[in-house]
Amino acid sequence: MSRVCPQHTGGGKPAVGRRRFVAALSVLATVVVAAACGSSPSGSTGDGGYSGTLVVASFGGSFDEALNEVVVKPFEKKYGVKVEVVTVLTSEVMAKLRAQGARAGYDVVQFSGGQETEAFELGLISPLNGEVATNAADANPAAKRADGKIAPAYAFNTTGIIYNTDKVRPAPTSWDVLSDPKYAGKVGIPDISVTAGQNLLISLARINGGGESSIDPGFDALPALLKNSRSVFGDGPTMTQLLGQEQIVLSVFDSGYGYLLAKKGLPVRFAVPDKGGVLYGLTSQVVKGGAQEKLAWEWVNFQLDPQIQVAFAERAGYAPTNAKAKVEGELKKLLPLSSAIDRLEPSDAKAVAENRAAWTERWNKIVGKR
Amino acid sequence: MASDRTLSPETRERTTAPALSGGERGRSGGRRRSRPRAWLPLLPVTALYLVQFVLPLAVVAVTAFQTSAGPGVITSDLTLGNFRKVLTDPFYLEMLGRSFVLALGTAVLTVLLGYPIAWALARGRSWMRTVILVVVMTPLMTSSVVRSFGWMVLFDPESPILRFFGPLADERTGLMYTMPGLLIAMAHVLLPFMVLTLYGIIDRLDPTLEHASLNMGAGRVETFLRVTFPLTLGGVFAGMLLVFATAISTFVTPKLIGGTQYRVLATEIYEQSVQLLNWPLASAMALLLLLIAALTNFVYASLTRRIPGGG
Repeated sequence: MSRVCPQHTGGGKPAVGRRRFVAALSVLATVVVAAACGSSPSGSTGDGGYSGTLVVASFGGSFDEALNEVVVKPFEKKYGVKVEVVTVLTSEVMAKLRAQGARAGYDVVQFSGGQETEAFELGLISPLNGEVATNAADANPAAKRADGKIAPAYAFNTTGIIYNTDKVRPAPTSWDVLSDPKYAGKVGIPDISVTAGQNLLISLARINGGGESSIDPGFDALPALLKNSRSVFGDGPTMTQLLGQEQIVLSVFDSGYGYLLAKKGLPVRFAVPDKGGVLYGLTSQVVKGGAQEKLAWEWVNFQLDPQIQVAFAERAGYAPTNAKAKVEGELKKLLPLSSAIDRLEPSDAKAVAENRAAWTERWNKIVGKR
Repeated sequence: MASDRTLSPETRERTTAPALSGGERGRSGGRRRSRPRAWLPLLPVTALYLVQFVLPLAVVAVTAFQTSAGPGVITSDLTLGNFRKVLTDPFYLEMLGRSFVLALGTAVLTVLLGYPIAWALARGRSWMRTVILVVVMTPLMTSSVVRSFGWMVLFDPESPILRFFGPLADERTGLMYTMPGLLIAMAHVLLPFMVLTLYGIIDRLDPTLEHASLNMGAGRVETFLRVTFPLTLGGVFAGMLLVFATAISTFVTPKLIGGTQYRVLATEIYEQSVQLLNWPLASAMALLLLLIAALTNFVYASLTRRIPGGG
C-alpha cells in the first residue's frame, strides 16, 4: 500500500495527477458559474432597471403550470428578471414568516384561504403600494383585502358542485342535491383539510341559519350528506379518479378545478349553488423587508392587469377581479362564477383561522364514525 | 438443538463454520490495532445518524411536552396534556389501536403469504425462481401512490373481486376505508421484505437435515413441522419484525386506502404536523408510536432468544 502512494513526498506522479485534477475542476467550476451568470438576465434589457430573482411562494401542481405560462414567463420577459416559483403550503409559509420574516427567502407569498389579513396584522406583509400597483384601483370591491390596506385579490374562486352532465339532470342549483336519495352512494365530499371542505362546512352553516361564528348548523347538516357519500377525499386527484370512473357523479370542489376537468374532456361542469356559497380570492402579497420589494409590487400589479387576468381565467378557470377584465362567449359559459360573484359572500378569515383546529377535530370525529 | 446429535460431522461443521472463522479473524488481527480501525469507517454514518436522527428525535421528544398556542406556535410551558389527549380521547386511542392491529395483521398476513413463496423461491427450478422474483419484486419498483390507486379501483363496491370478500366489504364503500382493505394493500407493499428475509433463511437450510428426517421415517408434513419450520422460525420472526416496524409507520398507503374516514396514527401525525401545525400533539403521537414499535421489538427479541435458530 504505502509503496504505491507515498504520503510525504510532494513531487511524485500521483501528486501531479491530483494538481491537474484540481485545475480541471476549477476550470469546470468557472465554466458552470459563467454559464449560470450568463443565463440570468443582466437587468438592462427589461423595464424599470430590475435585476436578480423574485421568489414567489405558490400552490403547486397544475396551478403552477398555468401561473408559469400566463404570468411568470411574460413577467420575466417584460422586466428582464428571473422568477422562482416555490411550492409550499400556506401554513408552512406563515410559520416561516413568523419565525424569520424576510429572511425566510420569499419575496411574494400567494394566499388562497384568507390568511393575508392575519399576515398583515402580524406585520409580515407590506401595505398596498398604489404607486406601483396601479391596477389595484380597478379591483372589484369584493376583492379588497384588509379594508384595501393590502393588495387585493387577483382571482376569484368559489366552492360549488362539480357534476357529471350525463348522469345528473337537471343541473344542480342548490346544496340540497348532495343529500338527494337519487344520488345515494354517488357523492364525493372534500375533507376539511382542503379549502373546499372548509367552505362546504361554512356554506352548510349559512344555509341553515348559522355562519362562520355559529358553525353548529353546518355540523348538524353534515351527517345527511355523509349518508349519501361514496368518499370523503383529501385531494383533487382522488376526486378526479372517482369522477372519471363514475364512482361518483357529484362532488363538492373548487370552480377552478371543475373548469380544468371540463377542459381536459371529462363530461363535467361546475355549478354555483344559489345560496350560502363562499367567495374566496387568490392574492399575491409582498413580504415586508424583502430585498426585491419594488419588483414584488410590479408582480402584484402584473397579476391585477385585466388582460393577464382574462388569460389566466382561460388557462386555469379562475374569475378575474379587475372590473375592466371582460369574460365573454364560451369562457363565460364554462365559468359560471364570473357572473355569480355578486351573490357570493367571502368567509370571515379571522373566525376560520381561530376555529380551524377545533372544526377539524369535530369534523374528523363525525366523518370517522360513520 | 436436538437434531444436532443426528448430524454427520461434516454437516455440523458447515452450520457452524461462519462463527468459527469470524472468531479466528478477530484473534489473528490483534486487538490493539484492529479496534480503532473498526470504528473509524463507522464515523461518517454515525455523524449522519446523530444529525439526521438522534437530534431531530430529541427535538420531537422535547416538543411532545410543550404546549401548542395556536397553529405553528409553541410555548415552552411543560405539560403532559398532549399525551393525555391521545390516551384518553377514544378518537385518538382508537387510531393508536388501529395502527397496532394494522402492523401486526400485516406481519401475520405477509408470513402466511410469503412463506410458500419463499419456499418455492429457494427450492424451485431456476426458471421458476426468476418468475417469482420478478413478480415479488415488482411492487417495490412501483410508486406506492400508483399501487394504491390500483387497489382503489379493485376495492370499489362494483368491482368483481369484491365478491370473494363478501362480508368483509362495506356495502357502500367496498373495501375502501376498511381494515381488511388496508391489510391487503399493506401486505402487498411489504410482502417483498418478508419473502426476501425468509428466502435467505430457507435457502441456507441444509437439505440433508430434511433428508435425514425423511430417512428416519417422518412424513413430509411431520418433517416440515418438526424440522424445517422450527429451523426457519428465526427468519419468520425477523421478517415479522421488519414488516411490523415498517407497517406501523407507513403513511402513503393508509392515507390513500384508509382515507379520511379510516385514520391511523401515522396519517394523523401528518395532519397534525403539516395541516394543523399542532407540533406538540403530533410529537406526542410520534413518541407513542415509537414506544409501541420499541416495545414490540423488545418482546420479540426476548421471544426470539428462546427459539432454536433464532436471535
